[in-house]
Amino acid sequence: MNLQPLLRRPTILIAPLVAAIIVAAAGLALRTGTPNAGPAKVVAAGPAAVAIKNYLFAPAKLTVKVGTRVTFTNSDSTPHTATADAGGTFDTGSIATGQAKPVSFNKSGTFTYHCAFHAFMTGVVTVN
Amino acid sequence: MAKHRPDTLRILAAALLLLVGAVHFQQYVTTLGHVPTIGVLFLLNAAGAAALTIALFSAEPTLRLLALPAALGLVIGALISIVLAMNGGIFGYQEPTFRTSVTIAIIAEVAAIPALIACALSELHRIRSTPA
Repeated sequence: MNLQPLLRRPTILIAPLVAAIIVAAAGLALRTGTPNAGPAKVVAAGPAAVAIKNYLFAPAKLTVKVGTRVTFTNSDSTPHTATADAGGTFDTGSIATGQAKPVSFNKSGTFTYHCAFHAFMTGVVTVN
Repeated sequence: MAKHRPDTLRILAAALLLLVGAVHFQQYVTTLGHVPTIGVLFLLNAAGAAALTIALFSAEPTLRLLALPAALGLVIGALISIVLAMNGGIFGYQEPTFRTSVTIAIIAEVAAIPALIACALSELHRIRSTPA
């Protein structure tokens, strides 16, 4: 292929490059959600809730009392789970869009969990 | 340089490429912006699709011809990625269902592949038949 025309007139590459830069900048400016959405830690008295939105658990760290029922509500357009890292401790199974599933924490301890579909989504429930 | 008029095939290929980029852009902005690796790849897909769409309409035949395989690579890459995401995951990301945006992206990508190939063949033919 003859690349001479491009080498002679590199300015013809400006328009595609500008388009790419504009789209990238717009994406960065418009993206929603924050990596650490919600308070880092919540001490809940009574039932507690964890929202799932923008591929995040919010709050990501939750402290509750023994016997608390924590409800995981999925507001994303794709299914998620809240699955304990320690096998079998708890698993909500797939939570469809707009659905919620409760988990009762009847033993004290620190329970780390993740989404089985999206391993980068993680959270912690501390039970006192 | 002779004035270049884009044909229907190129307009169709560019529209499908733009649609692929638009879906990735929408997903990046609304939900995937902070997802590690996948988020960045979605933004790169959108930026690349925008650049290549512009390049497909360049008055310079060499740039048009270079843009076509690049666009094909972008679309095929996106299609392979989505297949991987639906079958075990890619970079820790799994797509468990055919949600609307996924369906639109797959349809656009599948349709864009033959359109881009036909466009590339047509461009090659045009270049070879043009006197030096």
